[in-house]
Amino acid sequence: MLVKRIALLLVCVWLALAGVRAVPALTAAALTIDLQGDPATLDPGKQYDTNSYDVYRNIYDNLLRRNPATSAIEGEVATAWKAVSPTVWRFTIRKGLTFQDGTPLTAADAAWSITRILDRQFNSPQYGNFNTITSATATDPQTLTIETARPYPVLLAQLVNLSIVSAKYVQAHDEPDVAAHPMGSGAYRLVTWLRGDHVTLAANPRFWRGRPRIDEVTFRAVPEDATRVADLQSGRAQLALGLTSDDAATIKANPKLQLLSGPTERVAYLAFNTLGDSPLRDARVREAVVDAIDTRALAQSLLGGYAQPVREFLTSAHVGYDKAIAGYKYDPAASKRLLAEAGHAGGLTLVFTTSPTYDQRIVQALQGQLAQAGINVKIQSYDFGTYLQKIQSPQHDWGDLRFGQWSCACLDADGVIYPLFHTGSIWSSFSDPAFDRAVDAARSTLDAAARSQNYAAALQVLQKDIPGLPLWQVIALYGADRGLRWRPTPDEQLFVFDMTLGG
Amino acid sequence: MTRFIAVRLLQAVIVLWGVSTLVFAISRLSGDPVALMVPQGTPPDVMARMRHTLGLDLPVYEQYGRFLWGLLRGDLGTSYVQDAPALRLVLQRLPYTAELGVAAFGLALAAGVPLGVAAGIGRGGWVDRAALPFMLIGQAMPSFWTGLLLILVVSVDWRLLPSSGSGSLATLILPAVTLAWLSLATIARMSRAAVLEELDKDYVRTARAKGVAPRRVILRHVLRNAALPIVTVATLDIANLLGGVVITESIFAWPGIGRLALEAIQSRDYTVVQAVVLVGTAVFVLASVVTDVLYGVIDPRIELGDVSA
Repeated sequence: MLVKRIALLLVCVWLALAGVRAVPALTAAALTIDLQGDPATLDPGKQYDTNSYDVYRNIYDNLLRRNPATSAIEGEVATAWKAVSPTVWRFTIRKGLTFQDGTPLTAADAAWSITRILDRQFNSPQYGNFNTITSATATDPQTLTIETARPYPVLLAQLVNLSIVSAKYVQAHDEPDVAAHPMGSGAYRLVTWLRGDHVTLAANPRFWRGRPRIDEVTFRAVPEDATRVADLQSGRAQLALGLTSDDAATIKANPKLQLLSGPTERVAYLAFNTLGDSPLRDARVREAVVDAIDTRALAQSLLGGYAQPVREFLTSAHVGYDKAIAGYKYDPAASKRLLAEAGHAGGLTLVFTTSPTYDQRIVQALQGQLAQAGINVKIQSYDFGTYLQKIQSPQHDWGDLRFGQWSCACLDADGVIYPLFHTGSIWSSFSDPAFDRAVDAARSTLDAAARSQNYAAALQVLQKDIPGLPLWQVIALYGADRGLRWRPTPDEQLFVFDMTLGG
Repeated sequence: MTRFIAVRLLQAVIVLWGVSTLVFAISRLSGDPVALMVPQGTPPDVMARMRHTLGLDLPVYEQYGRFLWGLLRGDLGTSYVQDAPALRLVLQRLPYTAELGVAAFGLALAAGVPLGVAAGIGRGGWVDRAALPFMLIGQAMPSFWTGLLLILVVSVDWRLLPSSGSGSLATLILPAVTLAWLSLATIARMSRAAVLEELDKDYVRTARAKGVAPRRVILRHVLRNAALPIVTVATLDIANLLGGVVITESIFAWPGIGRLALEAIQSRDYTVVQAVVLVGTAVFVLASVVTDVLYGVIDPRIELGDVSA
């Protein structure tokens, strides 16, 4: 009897809920975006993670921006700039910009945005990107003057990531307030932030580029990849980030959804331990390893073609890219020959150090390809913090090879090959004086032609000495509702202002 | 009774101290949080400076001393990642976990006990035979699989409930069912076993011989005696729920402390990890104290005091 009563109750509850339609109405005014995690803070000086950046980039304006089509640096808050000497730059600040509380945005705010990051007490994770700047001052309300410690050619690229805060607002409020209640000059202002759940932004009607076409945007934190896809399918979200090639088929098969993809500046690569006690100290063994890897096959079969093989550690959009670099060919016969020459004809065992953060299918596929060449690969996986500790140890005892994806968010060789291969860098298990000289020279001059030459020389050293194998340029995948109009950009910036919904 | 509670609370404080020390030690053994907080190309001197500002380059015993002192004052430190007091972050998200946990626990009890009892009473009957595979599935399927399956079928195919998020009763159902299923199965099996054991006893035969109605026999007599083992299992299950909440919250994007703990562990946010573990331990310890008091209520023969129940 009791069981029957309970069963009846459950059926009633189920019927009642069946009346609850879970699909929200799709209006042109509101957009929901599924991110991979919750923003840690909305203070642009205090964070360096994509989730925070994706949200606060819509609240603040940056000093410079990249053209969505060409990736060339253009003005945003700054309209013009000039290097008046190798270490002094002058920026002209756009007139008529206001923060969302109505106060005007002047050069003093831009200067303050830089100065606060350089304050070591502030403990900004971005300090390393701007520490070549010795001073930033507003020489008049529309002119910002920046002085650098040495000629710094990557300054403009770094300033693309500098968000302008209101000096008055930041000085009048304490840090937790600035993080939780941001005051920007951008297209959207903060409405609510339920930590761990969602952030809702509303359009700023007085935005200097015009009224945003989407009135309200909600960023939701959904860590599980399958759930993000389910949200798209059930209509709970209209844009989802961080999808993988496995999800591509599901999205493409659904007539209400579309798959958006765009090449990024992230490059996947293999790095070798050339300094430690490793068989890869021998250049022939390194060459044998790269000859045994079929990059094209990996990109096609594992990543569904959503990866663009590259011949060097840079994409064609990077400053310093040299299209004359030859790259390597898949040549298993040459691989066997070289192994025999190096005395490993009977086989070789290498330790592949990795972390679950990286796509383990790629790691295992590489292991499989190397096995066919007679190289036995042992995979050792650590959690990301421990992994970093191991590979960054100056003892170079972390193993033999590792897989990684690199982006400096600067589209410049100085941010890629310098930290990866310069002697003494925590990421580098390689040392070559000619390479060091070339990249040191390239970062000490503003002359584009001189930089190009030096990078060409540096890349030739890498091509010959093979401290690593560049694999492919990562293509970012997004799932979206069919009614969303947006082109993903190589710098992976999420500008809701550039999106339209409906129709 | 008062003395009993006082002693148990003192024991609780010792447990909390032990757990917090353990978490402190383990998290510091796991690696450097600063490496995860900065852009890839950051030079080591910048990272060293950050470590210094966060107090991470102090000797371990000094860090521990500061930690204990903070603990006594109720200050569990500041989150490295979110730059806000760790305890406040945890307490802000605790109500969501509480909501999910209470819903799952309630569901497990409300469905598990009657199911187990019905299976035990009608042993060999259709209820018993239907219940067993149901319970086995609950104990065998991992919760992330159950969760994803439910989202796929109920949200995407049938469009009945939202696929993720929080805020309404509709969003609570799928995560609560996912979280409850294992507990439901365990409680049902325990209830069935307890009822079966009681049904064999002499007093049941006596009651039936006296002519007591079957329902009254069950509710008034059998259940009260079977209650003790059921309550024990249910309390132990709270610990399982606290653990299961981590996965369920990640699958359903539920903004509770389980997901907070997972993210804090991945980003090496020591202070938040410590705060979550402490709050979780406190909840569990409180639940055990309540259960022990309940024993005394359910069974007057049990005397709470020097002898442990």
